[in-house]
Amino acid sequence: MIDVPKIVLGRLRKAANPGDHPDADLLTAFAEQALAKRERLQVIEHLSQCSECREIVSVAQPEMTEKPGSFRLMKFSLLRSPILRWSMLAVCAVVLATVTTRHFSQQKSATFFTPEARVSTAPQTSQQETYDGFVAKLESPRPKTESALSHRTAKQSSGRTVTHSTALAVADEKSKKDSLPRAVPAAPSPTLLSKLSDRERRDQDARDALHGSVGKSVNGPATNEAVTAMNETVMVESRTASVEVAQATPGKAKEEKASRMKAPAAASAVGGPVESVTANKAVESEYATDLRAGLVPISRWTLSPEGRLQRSLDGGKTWKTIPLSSETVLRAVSAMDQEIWVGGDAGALYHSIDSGQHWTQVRPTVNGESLTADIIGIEFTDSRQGKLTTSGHETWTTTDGGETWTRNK
Amino acid sequence: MPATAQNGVQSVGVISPELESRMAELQLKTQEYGLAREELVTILNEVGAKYLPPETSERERDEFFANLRLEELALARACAAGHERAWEIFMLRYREKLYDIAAYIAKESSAARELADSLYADLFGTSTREGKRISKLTSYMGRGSLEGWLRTVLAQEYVNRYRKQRRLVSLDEESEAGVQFAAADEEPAIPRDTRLEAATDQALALLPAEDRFVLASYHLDRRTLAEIARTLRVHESTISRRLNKLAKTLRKQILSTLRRQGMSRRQAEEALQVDVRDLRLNIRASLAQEANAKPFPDKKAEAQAGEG
Repeated sequence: MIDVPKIVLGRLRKAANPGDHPDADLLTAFAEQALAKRERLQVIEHLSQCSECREIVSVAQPEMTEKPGSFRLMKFSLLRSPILRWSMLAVCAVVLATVTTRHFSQQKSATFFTPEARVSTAPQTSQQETYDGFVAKLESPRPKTESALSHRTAKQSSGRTVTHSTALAVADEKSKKDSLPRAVPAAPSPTLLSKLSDRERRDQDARDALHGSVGKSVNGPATNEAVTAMNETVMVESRTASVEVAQATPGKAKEEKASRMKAPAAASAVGGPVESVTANKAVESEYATDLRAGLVPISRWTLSPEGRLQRSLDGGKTWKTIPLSSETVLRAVSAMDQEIWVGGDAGALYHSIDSGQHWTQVRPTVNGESLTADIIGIEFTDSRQGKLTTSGHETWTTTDGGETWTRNK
Repeated sequence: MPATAQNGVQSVGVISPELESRMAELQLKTQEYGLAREELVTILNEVGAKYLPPETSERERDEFFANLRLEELALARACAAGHERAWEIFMLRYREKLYDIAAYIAKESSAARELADSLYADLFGTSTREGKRISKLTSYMGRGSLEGWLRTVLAQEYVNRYRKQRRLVSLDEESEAGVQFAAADEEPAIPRDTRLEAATDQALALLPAEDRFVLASYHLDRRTLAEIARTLRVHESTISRRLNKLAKTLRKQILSTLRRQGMSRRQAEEALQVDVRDLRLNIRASLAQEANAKPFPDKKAEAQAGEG
């Protein structure tokens, strides 16, 4: 506090000539800020000269009660200085930015190993694979995958099935958007694999719990809501995994990516978010496990532009044509785990329950009337319940794995 | 509402619709006190006559009456008139508060009780004039809250008693306090420059009354920043800033006035800084310095020479 010259205090003391004292009413009204401006000036003029009235006013002040605002300022005296206030704000901003940056970098590294890389680097169909070797690997015990994964097909507007994901991994629109391709390295680093391993362990409990609930939800959408809530908590994993099971058309990987970017709604037709979470989590973990073991657990199915069924065992790098019928042009495919359905012109429908090793031709018939229209869409929600869409705008449904059919126009 | 001026003072005159509605509402509330409408109007006229100067505009008068604490005023006047129900309500509302306020002011229980009892007797009206009880509550005009008024009256009583006790302090007590032979207030040994006093008075006169109040409260009364801030309803940091600014402004204005009166800058600054007490301290310091010097070195040398 800057000192006032002593002469000032001396003159201030001597200048006191208060005159008549204001009464208790005026002093009360002054203390309560209830006076008009003119009266307030008069009273304060008197008070500036009358030490007795100043004392009365001071003594008559009610007990000091701290207001919330003043409490904050008085308690945290550091905040009184504007420089310190702004400095603290800046520090908070820096800390927040650092945390956010670290969070996103971790997210990015977690999604480092994404199948878009394989999609973007999808080779030409001329590259062949060792099919028999894969079948041998596929036949090896994979209880977790078998219990969790199945496949089904979504259909593009062109009538050709191009996308292929697990039946349970029906990615919702959001997860499809999130799974848009990124420029990421094609091969996972050892660090990432260790991270995936850690995540596998972390996710194990959640996955087990989810499998329990999914076991119910697979048979119907009744429990969808219950699992949807869990979906949000594992969104990152869902995004990663939903990309993982995405499949590209051989030689048209870029086109597929573009179409997925342009038409997320079409992707959403693949299914709801519930199964997507569960199965994707499983796929992610299984994929990492099998990758370390030298296995490629997921087969990808697609149709070539010529209407031939093709499969990739290396995540879409190479594709092999499955010889079903040299004459029939296939238009739709659905893959659920090892159960594959594929359909095409003139009601041609083939079914495999062993990942394409053996095929059975199915002839849907209702009241002695066979399906003769072109099959342009196949959707199976599980091994028994499925739906065919024909070029004649008919829908053929089965609830017993193709034994009997119902036709809807 | 046309103003009614009687003997140079304002009365409520024609009652405005707002005041009329307030009075009607008040009558309902204070029905149990037995105050008639005419009595209320008389009280309002009394209040207006006391506080409203003749030149008060109609708007100011309306505002004045609108700001009155009519309900508390009616209660106080009913109590002063000896209405039992009004006293019951008063006791219920204010008796405990009265003792709490007294305890806060006096800081000591017996003194607080004595203070509160004394005021309570005054409020009840133990003295009579022409056969009528004179209650202190008749002086309440409803400008502030009744509780605030009681607080102020208690503070007045406390300050008066304190000053009275100071005046009647015994010689023994003064002796114990070490002030028995206290010197009279010192007068400056060196008369101040009248130009400096004039310049200071001028600078102080230019200050707003509130600034002078702040200066006096802080530097003369030794009130804390918080106490002053509470009185003026501002934050104490505002008072702190204002005090610093006032000190700078006063110094600058005094120096400026002194220089206009023919002083050089250095002379003006020296005149402002010179203080008799500072001069005395300097003399003491110089005396103390001399005391450290060798005593009578010349005489000692002469004595040594004589012995030799």
